[in-house]
Amino acid sequence: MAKKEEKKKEEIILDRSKDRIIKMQTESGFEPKPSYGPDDLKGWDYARDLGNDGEFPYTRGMYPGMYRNLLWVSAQVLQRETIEKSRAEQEVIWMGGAPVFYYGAGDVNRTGLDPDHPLAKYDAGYCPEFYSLERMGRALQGISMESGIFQFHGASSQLDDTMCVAQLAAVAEKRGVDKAKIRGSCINDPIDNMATAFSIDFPFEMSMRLHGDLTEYIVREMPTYSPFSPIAYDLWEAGCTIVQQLGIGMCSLTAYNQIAVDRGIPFDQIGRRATIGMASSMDFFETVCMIRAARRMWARIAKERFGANDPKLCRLRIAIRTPGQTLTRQQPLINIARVAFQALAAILGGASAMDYSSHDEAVGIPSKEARMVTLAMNHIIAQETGVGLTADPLGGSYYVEWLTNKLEEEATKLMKKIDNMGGILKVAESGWLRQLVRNARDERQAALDKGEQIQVGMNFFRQGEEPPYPQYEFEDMDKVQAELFAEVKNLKENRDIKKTREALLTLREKAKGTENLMYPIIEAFKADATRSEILGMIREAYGYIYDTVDMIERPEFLN
Amino acid sequence: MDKDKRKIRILVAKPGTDSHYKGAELLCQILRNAGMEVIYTGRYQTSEMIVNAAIAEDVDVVALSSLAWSQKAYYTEVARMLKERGAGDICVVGGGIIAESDKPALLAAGVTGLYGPGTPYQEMIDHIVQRVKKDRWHEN
Repeated sequence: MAKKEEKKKEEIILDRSKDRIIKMQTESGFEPKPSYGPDDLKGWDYARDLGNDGEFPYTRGMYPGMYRNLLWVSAQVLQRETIEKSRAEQEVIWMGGAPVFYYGAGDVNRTGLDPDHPLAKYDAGYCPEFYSLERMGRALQGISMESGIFQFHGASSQLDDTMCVAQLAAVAEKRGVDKAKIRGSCINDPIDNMATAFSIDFPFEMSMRLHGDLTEYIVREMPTYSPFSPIAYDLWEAGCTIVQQLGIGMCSLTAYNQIAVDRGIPFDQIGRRATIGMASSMDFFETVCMIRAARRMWARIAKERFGANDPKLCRLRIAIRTPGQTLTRQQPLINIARVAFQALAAILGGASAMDYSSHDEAVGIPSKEARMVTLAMNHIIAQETGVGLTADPLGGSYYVEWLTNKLEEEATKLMKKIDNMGGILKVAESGWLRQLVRNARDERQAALDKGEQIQVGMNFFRQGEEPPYPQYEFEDMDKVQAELFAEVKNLKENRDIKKTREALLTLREKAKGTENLMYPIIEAFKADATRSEILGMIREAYGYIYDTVDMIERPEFLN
Repeated sequence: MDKDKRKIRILVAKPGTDSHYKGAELLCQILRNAGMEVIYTGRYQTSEMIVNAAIAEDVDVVALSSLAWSQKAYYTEVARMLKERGAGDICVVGGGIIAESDKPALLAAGVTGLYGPGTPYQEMIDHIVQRVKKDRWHEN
């Protein structure tokens, strides 16, 4: 007893063990010096390396004055169990300052399955299933297609981009809307899937065909739409560093432009739509500098490789997503701070578009409340912080310029390495790229496991048991799915089957040749064909079995 | 075989269309490093495919990994089908971002673990070892 009394009287030692930076490296592994000065920028030239904002090489931003004249676009992906419910919640977001019609693809869509596929039976209905033209028509009902921005950013599924743009175009045609006035972008990045394996693999040659056809179709028919926007973001999410994301992203963007040029599309027609999607990471300055470096690298590629004579053809739009990987399930509210820092870095780097994660992303799909928080966050950055009052406010900082140079240098080395191996398409197809991503993933995970990479709440300052954080509550999914299956059945039983058959068989025939497949795909959708039937026809033309996952036979009416 | 050296055979499986594979692949590494024999189905599996594989491979545990909301439907279906096929002593554990409201039904179906992101590896390993010893090997 006496001993215990004694212990109680002991003084509390205030813990200062956390008062130090644990990781003294940037995310890509550079070890910054204690400070930077003019000596670190020897040979650096303002006109050559920066230029003014809105001037070649666009390091300081695409436009003079940047956000003073044109604020970044804010987009928020949101999807619910039904089209109607998604729509109701999206309208709040559109009216709240993110006027972007934006669906991410669900797994069923992305895999190319109709909801009535045996593998989809429990997964269908969590996202708006765009298996038919009627569904897309319903999602777009009552929206002026000449206003706002329309985008489909399914992760790494060439098929989904092809299908969604075909449906968008078909709806426009049916409504008599001028397709040339539809603004937006698609990802159209088959390399990404080979690298990250985020979606089911489609045969690469088939994906490349769909890629090229989609690009050509958009350039011809939808000239204000971006034909491709490589999703380097996925690489980061899959484990890559900022340097890898930058280097591989630039390789992909270059490759897609080259493919288009090789198909006879003048660079003038694609250069002005150049877009890339990248991830901001928790490394603040690497994010800022990556964005600046990406613009500069692209400007030089456009000029030197593609011979762009108009500086406007050398501008790169960078759409930034804040990555879900950085968010913790522990203490979900602290993720608000994370997303805010990521967004601030992106905007200081001069991003053209922002797509924010919700803080509850590691808990479940975003709640309405969480979506409102990110919407407000966007307004806080735009309206309260003053960061948009002048272009490239960090430009000229010794450290920022040194790091921008360093990222460009390292990313260029990676690009050269890939070129020496035969180019990005070759390393994507051979599996080398996927292995690079896997290795990067394992390294990141190991650093987290060992506590070398800090994630507050998870491996640092972890709290004990936490009460469950509220999750979005789904509707009765048995009912949602039953209704969806009934809808698919109804479509498949009541369509003009002769017309559907004819359109699909025409598509299969054309897929065997070299014609642009977008036109027959659009016709097939108009004839009430479904996504998996369309995919099946293209697969068969390429000599593959009808069903991607080898579970169903070709429907009888197509025999 | 010496009981202490008996290796746990575990089938890591991904049901449905969920494309998130990193967790499952990482799980395979962790379990292998913990001395288990790991068999991985890959993605895009139906419950029936998973149950067939579990029985054919004579595993002790099926570890289901999914980040889609179909977890409850698939995980409980796999557990039910194993019982129907007379393999109810194969333990079923699951992980992913699992809805709190789904947990009671999963536990009632005998699916345990239900690990979320950021779970310490040792916690998962310990749980699997204990469950196998109790429910599959009937050790005390």
